[in-house]
Amino acid sequence: MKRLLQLVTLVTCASYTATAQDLAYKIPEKAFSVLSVKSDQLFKLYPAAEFNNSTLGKKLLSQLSKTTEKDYKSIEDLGMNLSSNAYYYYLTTDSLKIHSLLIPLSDSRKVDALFAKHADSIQKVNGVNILPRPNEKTVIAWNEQFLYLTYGSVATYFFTDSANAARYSIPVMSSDDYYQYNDEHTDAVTEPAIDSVAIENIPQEGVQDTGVYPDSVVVEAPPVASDPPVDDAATAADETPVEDAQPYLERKRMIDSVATIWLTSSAQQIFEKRSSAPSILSNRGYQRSADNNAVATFWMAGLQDLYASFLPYKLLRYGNIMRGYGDVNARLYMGKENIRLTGEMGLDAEKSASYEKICDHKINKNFLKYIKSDSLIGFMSYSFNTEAYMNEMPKLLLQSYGSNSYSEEMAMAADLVSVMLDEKAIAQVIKGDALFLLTNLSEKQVTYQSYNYNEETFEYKDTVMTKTETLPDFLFMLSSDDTHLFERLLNYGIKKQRITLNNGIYSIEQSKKNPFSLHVLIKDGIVFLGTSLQDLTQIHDGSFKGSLDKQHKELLTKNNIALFFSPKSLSAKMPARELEKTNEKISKLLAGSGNVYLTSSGLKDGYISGDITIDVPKGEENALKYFLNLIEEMDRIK
Amino acid sequence: MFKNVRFIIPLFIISVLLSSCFEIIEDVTVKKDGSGSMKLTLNFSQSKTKIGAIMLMDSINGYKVPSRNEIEDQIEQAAAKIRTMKGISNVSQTVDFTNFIASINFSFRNVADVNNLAKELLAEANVKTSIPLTYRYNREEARFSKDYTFSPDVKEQYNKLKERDKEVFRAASYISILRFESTISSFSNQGAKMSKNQLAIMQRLPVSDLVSGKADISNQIQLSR
Repeated sequence: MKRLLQLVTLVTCASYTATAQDLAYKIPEKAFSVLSVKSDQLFKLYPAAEFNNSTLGKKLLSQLSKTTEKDYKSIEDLGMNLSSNAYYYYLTTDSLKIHSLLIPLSDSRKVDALFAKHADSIQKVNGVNILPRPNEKTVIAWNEQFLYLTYGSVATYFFTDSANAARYSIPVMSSDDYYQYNDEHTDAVTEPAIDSVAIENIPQEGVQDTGVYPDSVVVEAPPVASDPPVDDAATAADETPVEDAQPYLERKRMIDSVATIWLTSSAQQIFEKRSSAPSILSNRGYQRSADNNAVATFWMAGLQDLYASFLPYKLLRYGNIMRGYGDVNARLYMGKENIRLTGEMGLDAEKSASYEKICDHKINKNFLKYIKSDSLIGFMSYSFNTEAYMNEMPKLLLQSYGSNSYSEEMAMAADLVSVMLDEKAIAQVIKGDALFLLTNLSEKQVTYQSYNYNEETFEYKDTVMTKTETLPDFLFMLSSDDTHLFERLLNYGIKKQRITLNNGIYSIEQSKKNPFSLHVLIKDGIVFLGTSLQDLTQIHDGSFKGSLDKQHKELLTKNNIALFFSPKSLSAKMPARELEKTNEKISKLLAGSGNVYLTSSGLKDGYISGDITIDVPKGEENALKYFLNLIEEMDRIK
Repeated sequence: MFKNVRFIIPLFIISVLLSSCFEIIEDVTVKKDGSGSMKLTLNFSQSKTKIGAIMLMDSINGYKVPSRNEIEDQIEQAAAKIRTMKGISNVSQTVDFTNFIASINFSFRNVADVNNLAKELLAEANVKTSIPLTYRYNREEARFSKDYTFSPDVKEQYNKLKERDKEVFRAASYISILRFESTISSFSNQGAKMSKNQLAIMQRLPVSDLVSGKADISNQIQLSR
């Protein structure tokens, strides 16, 4: 019986995930990036009825009503299925670049109604409504299950290939002509005198001659007068620019119409595609990013591909800078207690090995003794292995820059750096971990210069005045096994009478240039730099009492980079005088904001990752509501 | 990595110090023959912590923060331009990057040269408004006038500022000192004050009053003949 129950649960869950991922199988296997929005998660956090009444919802609906000339009262009126996932994907092929949206529908009649105006242009193919809009390079298609919206343009270089061009009867323009035209005729093309009427007069029939475009297309653009007489404008429209623009515009229109045909057929393919066909679901990187608990997920094929896809062919030999960096994904979670954005980037074996070595360093445990968690405003820590970093950096650089024509030189430079630097010695001085604590805010007397006026003559003299300023107190700690260099620097300062040494603590007094009094202490392989003499004296005597809470300890010891900031604590420590000056709403906002954490914990399964977490303050129902409220609040602050 | 720490500290300082203030001092000496000298001082010393912190960063709110060298270059260029202007001589400038005070001194042959200078500098900066402040000196009648025409454009711009940014202008002061060789027998602006030796006149007001049109700094000064 128990087994049976388990089986039933499994099947229901599986079918649930299957319906939840419903449209993902429609996404081509070769998609370059995919964004999915789990509307069921979103509307669980923020029920549609509430959303409709929120400022954002109202704005959205009124905008929608305006553009569609219909009256939308609820987000549900759109006919979308609010409990399924919506997808966006980007796909590039040799010929097309396509952006597509897949939106599940609950009531396709509402979509029919939305496009009723365009009924004449809608084609019905196998139960699919297809509305091509060539002017917008867009195709909208829908059946009862989902809406597919795609926008695409032809890859710039596709029709510069004469074979491709001949197949589609597109006139050939060599890339030189193309650029020459662009460079020298920008004026002509953007010339205001070319109005749409003039363009529409161009014969609609395709230009069939594939004859070579003469170099003499270079015709002087008419001088741009600030206020041209009507006659001039007319001549301009009738003669030169049109003659110039005609082949270009005609060709462009032909290409666009080919693109629309392609988009239409690709839309049909999407509707015909079955779940057994190869799709993005067979991509391991994508699978890693898909998580049903996330509100939204994003996945992108390798950074190297992205980088290379933006490079023109001529520059491709420089296209290795991102080599070794794999796919990227991000997931957004919204819960009752916090909002979390987590991102990952894949690395190839070579890079993984390098990063593994660099990240293999933990923060100095002794730092933790000097943290007072209960009163802390914020901290930032990092820990990397300096020696590994120095050793690996030339290799990493070589991977990125080494495979072009300068590979010899790069290799030599990398070796030279290694020879010149003594990685071990440097790592002794700076081990690679440090912690910056923002401990307090305090009021300090600061001097400034003003003038004293003689009542007799109004002659004035420079006078030094003082005023109270609120300045942060901080403590910075740095690990070092060889503190000689620091000591020598400090002693040099003493010699130059810039630094004083009392009871083992070096002090750089507040001066005109430096609003802080800074104190330095070197103890137990740690260099301390801080604003509070009291703290440093206690650290020196060994009487400092820290109070580290579990959460802070975990953040610091488990991550290579950790940042924590408590807006509430900041506002609590802000002096009343400062608060009066500050906008009341801003202080309120600070006091009511949740803690912020940012972490990166090194390498996991060949991925490096980073996390941002923001706590939802007490009294707020959940993360989504908190953020929408925050946006509304910010909107009111002027 | 190491660089980041350097920027964290200024960031926190800026977020804490929300208001800042400055002084503008315009000190003009006019001789009997209408020639004279002028010293313009811009003193940001009261905000030096904030400015010092800003200058440690590359950009703030998307605006690029100029480097010390760039600021010096700009001032040097302005001074060079002034040197070439008609009737202007003895141009010298100082910039104090410890207290953030900049000043420029020059002599003029006639007060009209100063009006011309302001006009050319505004044209250079592509500001298309008439100069709000002009000086006139009538030698025969020994009368000096300072005419200030309030520009509604400026007020409009000022009103568009956020409350927090307006505060900066409220805390900032504008100080004008006019010095003469002969004693002052009368002056029209009640907001101004005469020195005990009757050779100078001073007016001090918040910059916000000036840009919002609340205060007038025009003054007709009759000197004894």
